[in-house]
Amino acid sequence: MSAPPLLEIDGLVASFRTPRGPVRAVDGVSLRVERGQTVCIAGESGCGKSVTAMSVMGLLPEAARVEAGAIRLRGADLLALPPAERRGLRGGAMAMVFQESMTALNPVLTVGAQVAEAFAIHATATRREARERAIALLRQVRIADPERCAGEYPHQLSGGMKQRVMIALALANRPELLIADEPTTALDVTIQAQVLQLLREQQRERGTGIVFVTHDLAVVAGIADRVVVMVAGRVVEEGSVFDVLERPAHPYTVGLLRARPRPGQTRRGGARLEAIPGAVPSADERIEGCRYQARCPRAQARCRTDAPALARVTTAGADAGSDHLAACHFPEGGLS
Amino acid sequence: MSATPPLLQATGLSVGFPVRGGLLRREVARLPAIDRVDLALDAGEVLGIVGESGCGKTTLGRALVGLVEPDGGTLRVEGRDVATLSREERRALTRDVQMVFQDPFASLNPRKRVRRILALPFEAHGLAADEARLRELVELVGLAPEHLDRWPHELSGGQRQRVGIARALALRPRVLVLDEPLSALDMSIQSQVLNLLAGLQERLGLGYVFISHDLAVVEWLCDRVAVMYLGRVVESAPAAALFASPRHPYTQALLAAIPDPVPRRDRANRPLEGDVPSPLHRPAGCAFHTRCPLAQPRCRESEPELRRVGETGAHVAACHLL
Repeated sequence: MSAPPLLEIDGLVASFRTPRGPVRAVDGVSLRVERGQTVCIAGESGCGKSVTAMSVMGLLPEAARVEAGAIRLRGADLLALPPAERRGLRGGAMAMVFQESMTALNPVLTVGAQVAEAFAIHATATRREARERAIALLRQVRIADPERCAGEYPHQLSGGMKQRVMIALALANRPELLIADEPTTALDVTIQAQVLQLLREQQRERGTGIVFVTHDLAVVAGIADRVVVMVAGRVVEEGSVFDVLERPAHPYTVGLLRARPRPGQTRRGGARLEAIPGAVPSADERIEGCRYQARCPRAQARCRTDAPALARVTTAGADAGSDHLAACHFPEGGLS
Repeated sequence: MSATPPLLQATGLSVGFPVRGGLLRREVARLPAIDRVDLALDAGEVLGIVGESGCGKTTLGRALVGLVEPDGGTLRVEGRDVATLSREERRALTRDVQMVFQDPFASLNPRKRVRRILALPFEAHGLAADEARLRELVELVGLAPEHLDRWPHELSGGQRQRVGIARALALRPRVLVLDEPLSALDMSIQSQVLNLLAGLQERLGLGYVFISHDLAVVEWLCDRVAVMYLGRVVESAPAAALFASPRHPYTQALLAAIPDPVPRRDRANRPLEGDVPSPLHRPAGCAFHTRCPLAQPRCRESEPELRRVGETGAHVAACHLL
């Protein structure tokens, strides 16, 4: 039997307690990440992408809990671990980069102290060693003057610098798995390009597996190996970045890609974008059948009663043996 | 008889914010948010303002609608210098220039129903908001009359932004200043609102100042684009010319950094290095020289002025190397 994947999420169900009863934010999500691979979880607000990421880290808010499913790191079920052991994995075997670097960094500690602390908790390093390693790590994440940066407080740094420091913190103990939740969303495009490049470089050097959560399909194109697209708590499409973005099968993915203006496209002559109609479904809506049917241009009677399961699809131009799945009764290209 | 003056014209417009320090919180320095900006908007024209955070695009928008007082320069609406007008004249004139804000969650009063939110602009100008006009307004932005009775929290993000647009349109302005009107919205909702904005502009003949960091959207919507860096306009051109042949090295870097929606096997690129410097420590000479791959000694010494770089006078850039 082959070695288990680095990360395997199997039938994850997570829900929030609300005054109106439990709301399922994640409803049966499965995915796997191999060593050195980047899997993007893409979707709009409330689709469950961040809740999935937080479930892996064991950082769900108080009101949320995992109801069912398994999360395995190298085959070991994280949900079955005692809390102390799970805590030991965070910042060690698995680490996280958050969107809000201003709130995720400690405002009263210098950058150097925070990075050094990450070493000290998980390894037996002296203070001096930890400081030297912190500076070396800041240099690796391309901070121009790492000695100076180590002595500064987070508020003295720009958004891009803070995000580099967060990546340094996350990489401090050479995690096998990195969870990045919208790490470039608050950044300008030129800085976003720098941060994506940095993540790709570090991954190449270290063989880290990355789960990258984003709402931006153009960012997906720049970083993903595989893509998981979510709607209202469920995976609606999964495949290689080429299959999903160049040969999308689910009407939602197709719609999202068509709705964005492409380079060179203008409204001259009264042209309009092909917008997806309707509103983004909220997590607490109970939807019978397919979660996307209310907005779907292809929806039929069956879509309103019968929830489609993920199934292999065929799309023209796909690589032989590519694993391309969609949860749709009438996918682009058809079911195989 | 000269040609009609531009609908909205800024000449040498500067806005600074006080930096306070010391025991008495005295002003110890002035942070120049926008610095000697010239721009003009004709009736029915859509001007995009792009640049990274801290470039001054939001402050420029707020100055254009009179939400911040300029330190220097002049702002003319329909040819009349706003600074020389009486309060009453100014109020009448500012009806013509209205603003749509970025965050539809923060910009609507949560304790007022949509009907009240839309009636307030009328009352502020001593006018009566009749029911027919309120209904017309919600329908104009693609909402239904029953939305007038809703509270903001009952609306989705896209619907709230539609209310924000309806409020801006209430007094039949000639110009809307839109500050990142899409960036708080989900991807699938952005294109709905973008289509709405395009349709309104065409139907009502509105002028837009469209402030955005999203260059693909700017290319789609705008007639003309001004690129800002550290408080100054560094390039301005018709949109087609700017996207086809950007001349300023900063504009080129900005366009190159737009994430490509097409995945590639080879993802190596050379992103622009470094961060935008703080406006408090504005580099001497050309402010972009600290990040510019082409910088020469003279770029550190003298500041380039905007000059004509295209076939027509409409394409200007501020770079010594052009």
